[in-house]
Amino acid sequence: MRRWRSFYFLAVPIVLLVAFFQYPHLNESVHSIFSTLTRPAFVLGSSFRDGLYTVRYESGNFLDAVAKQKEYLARIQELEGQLIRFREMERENQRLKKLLNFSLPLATRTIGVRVIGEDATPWKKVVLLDKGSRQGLKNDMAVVVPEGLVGRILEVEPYTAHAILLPDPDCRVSALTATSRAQGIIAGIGTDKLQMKYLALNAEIAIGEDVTTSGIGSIFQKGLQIGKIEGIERDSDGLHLLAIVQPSVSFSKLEEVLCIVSPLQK
Amino acid sequence: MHRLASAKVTFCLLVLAVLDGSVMPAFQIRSVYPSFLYLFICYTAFEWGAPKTLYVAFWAGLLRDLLGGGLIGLEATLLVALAPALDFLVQKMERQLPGIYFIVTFLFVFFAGVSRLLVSCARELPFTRFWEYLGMIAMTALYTSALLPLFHFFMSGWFGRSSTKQYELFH
Repeated sequence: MRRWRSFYFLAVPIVLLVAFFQYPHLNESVHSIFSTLTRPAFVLGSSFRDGLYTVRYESGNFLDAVAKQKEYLARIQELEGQLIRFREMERENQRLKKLLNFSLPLATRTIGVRVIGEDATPWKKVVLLDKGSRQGLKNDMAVVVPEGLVGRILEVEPYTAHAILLPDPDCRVSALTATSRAQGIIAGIGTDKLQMKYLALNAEIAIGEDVTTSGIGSIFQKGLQIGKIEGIERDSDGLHLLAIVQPSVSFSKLEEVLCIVSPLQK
Repeated sequence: MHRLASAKVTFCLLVLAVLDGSVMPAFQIRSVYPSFLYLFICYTAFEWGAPKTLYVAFWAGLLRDLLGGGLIGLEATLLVALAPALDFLVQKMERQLPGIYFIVTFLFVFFAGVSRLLVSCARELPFTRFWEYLGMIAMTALYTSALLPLFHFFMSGWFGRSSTKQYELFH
């Protein structure tokens, strides 16, 4: 009887899997409830993570100071503690100023949100945002930072939202090269690089050329920076060129982002 | 009251899920970071054994599903399917062998990642990047299993050592 227990128990998640696969709406509802309930914990966790980033970045400087000023160790520690807090505030101030300066010239209204969680699967690039439909976020809103396009809103819950980033294998963006005006599709591959697919064989694209959104489709407005072409090769089908694109955004260091309220969603 | 049904384990699973989702990205190396929920399943297998591993694997999988924003039940099914294999391996392994706990943890995390990858490849991912993703999974498994001694130290402090298995974990 005992040896069959695992088989019986395996039935439970399979039943759940089939039920949620059959009823995607139920799947979304459960995610929504979970995200709403656990939001405070994730906000707390992300604050702790930000503190860890600060400690990580400042520990090198801190150790140098300790080595040089051993006799003033206690005083230095006290001052370093204050300095870390001030530097973090200054960095946050600079980031927010940059974000504000970037959002002003944008033709559309934007909503500033914080990244509070990430999907643990290595190749999936989905992040949890600290605002949801109650704050005006909607599905398919473009997510940007001053450096360029980050991704789009995937799912919206009342107080949180999931955003899919450009490096995610499920993310596709219609794109244009800045100089040669060659059109293609930017696709994520789960790593730090992006691929620009379906480029014409005679496209006169060059390494180092900027890649921006083409504005085709209703999600992303035209002209948002995506990255720079780093390499060009022939696609495996032999019918198109494939460009490797270095994204302009550092996806591993996202803390605050802007969601563009497009005219269609106003 | 059943030990696994205690609030301690539930609280521990929730805290580990929050750590996995929001804190561990701060420790990422080349887009790879460890998962405490996987470590907790291995800890359960090492310290408490079957059938408790099944329950913990189910709840850990469910939490990972909820964290990821994908199809609920997918990771739970995969982890519950792997849990008996982990229990079997833990029963049969030579506990005195140096590094055996590290190897078993590495294998469990690696195969959990591979099974998830195979399902993802069947649903959405391009097969052309399979080896690259496999490398990421191996890195995740290595990183996760490297944290086992530290994790075991904290968990032993939290739950206490098992009274039935008086062996040393690391030599």
